[in-house]
Amino acid sequence: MKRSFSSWFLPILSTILSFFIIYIPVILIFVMSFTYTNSLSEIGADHLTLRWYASLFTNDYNSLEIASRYASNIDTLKDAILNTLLITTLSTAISTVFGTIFAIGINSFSKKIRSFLMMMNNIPVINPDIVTGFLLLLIFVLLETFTGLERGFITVLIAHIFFSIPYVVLSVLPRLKQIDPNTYEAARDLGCTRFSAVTKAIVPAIMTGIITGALFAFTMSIDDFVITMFVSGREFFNVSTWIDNSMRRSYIPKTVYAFNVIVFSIAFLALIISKFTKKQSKGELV
Amino acid sequence: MKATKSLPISADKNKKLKSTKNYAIPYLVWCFVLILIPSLVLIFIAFSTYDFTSGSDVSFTFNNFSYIFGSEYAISVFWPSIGRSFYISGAVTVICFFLGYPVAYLMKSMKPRVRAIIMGLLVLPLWSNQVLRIVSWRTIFELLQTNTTNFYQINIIIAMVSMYLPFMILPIYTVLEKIDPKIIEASYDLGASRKQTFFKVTLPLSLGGIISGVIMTFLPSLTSFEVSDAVSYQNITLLGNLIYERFRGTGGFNVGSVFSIVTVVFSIVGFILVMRVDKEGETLI
Repeated sequence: MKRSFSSWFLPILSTILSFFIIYIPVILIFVMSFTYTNSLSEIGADHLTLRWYASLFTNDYNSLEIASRYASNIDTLKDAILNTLLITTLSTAISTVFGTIFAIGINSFSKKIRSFLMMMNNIPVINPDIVTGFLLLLIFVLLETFTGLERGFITVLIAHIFFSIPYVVLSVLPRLKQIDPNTYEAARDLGCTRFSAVTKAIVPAIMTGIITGALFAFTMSIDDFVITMFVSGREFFNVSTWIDNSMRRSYIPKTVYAFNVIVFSIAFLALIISKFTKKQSKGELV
Repeated sequence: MKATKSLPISADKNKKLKSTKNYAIPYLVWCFVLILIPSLVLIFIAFSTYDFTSGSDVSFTFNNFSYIFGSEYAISVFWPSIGRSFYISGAVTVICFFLGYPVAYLMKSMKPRVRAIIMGLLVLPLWSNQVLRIVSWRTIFELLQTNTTNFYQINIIIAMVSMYLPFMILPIYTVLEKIDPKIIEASYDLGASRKQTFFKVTLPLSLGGIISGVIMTFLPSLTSFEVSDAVSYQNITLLGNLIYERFRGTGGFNVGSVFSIVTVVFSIVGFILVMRVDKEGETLI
């Protein structure tokens, strides 16, 4: 079948339009992180600066000509950044390990039970964040009533692990289905312990799935807003809830734009490197 | 792995890893604690006067429900907000579908390396903070001077399309990629035109991905509150905003739970639809 240009015109146009609408805010964030003032109307006449980047790494805001009334706000942002990095790292590590273990467990059941378990697994994926957030809030309020555990770091960490695990399971399970179902038994017969049969025989075979799952968990956690908002209490902020809080008070120091560009650039570089150095296997996401 | 091949294995080929079954049991407990228990609590406080934050007396009531059916608030705020939410999220979903399907279709026809790059570029914006992206949209509307009452709804739709479009494209692509090219060839060999092949073969075969994509776009945009808050300066109230308000204000948990139950009803419908076409949720990511 000869493929004419005219039949591809619509898909190409859609793709250009889609990328345009998806990337407009990303590009604007990039531009704004380099402009001097905070005022938007002057964006055209503004001059370029690295001061927002510098403000991430120093506490001397005066020398950067950032008004001192913003200093405390930037300090709370730095706390929020540390919180985000800590929560994301921990929740990614924990949910990757446990998500993989659970996926191995789920895969050993018959199709019927597996479907039921996957249904449970997919509830947090399909459920809108606001409902998941509300449900978790209820359980944490209960917890607070009975144990006195206040909402904050721990509850946010539990919530992030909760919504990350399903993505790890969803990434690992297709890989598990591809490997020989006798792998585990064979490893046991060859003298592996129950633990080493998993780590030495199964895990290497599903490694790409685990990495994809970990990337998903990381991506979901670093960016999360709604669920964190519900379970974080009033004193604990991650970057997303900090931005929301600042927005409601009508001023957002552009230090956060600089932070965002750094995170985005790391992801961008990782993507470029992974795409141009290794062969892409089918179905890999990032 | 290598050693297993040369060994005579007596076990049936379909035999599963029986002894690893118990690895899933802690997960069941975990889901039970974090999904089932709060769901019961949600139903409990929706039907009672119990004030969660202060711990008042408990008595059974339908008042929280009648509040959303008979009251002045229901007529002037609640149902109009639901209507508006459906209108906006419906528009977002339709636009995402017509923009996204051709993208997934084009990706499928590309070389594997190009596919992978487009895929990466679709996921990459997720690494840019979502709240900051929403704030950027507000900035854009301010620069374009379309941040006025007449434009609020259309602005919300544009910002949401930008946020949720990748979630429409990816499931459709996952399904399109799995279609055997021989089926398409067979269709051509049997004399179907490109148009016929697309509408009678490709489109029906990608239905699973379309349903997943529609649900993954529709539900988040139906319940989003941060987009309407930021872009309309809190002038447009959607379903998500109603829940959020109840949670922010103290003592609003009972009615908030009723709102949540309404939302859960919508999401159960979506859930059932997805499960019908995709039992194990393979198109969800």
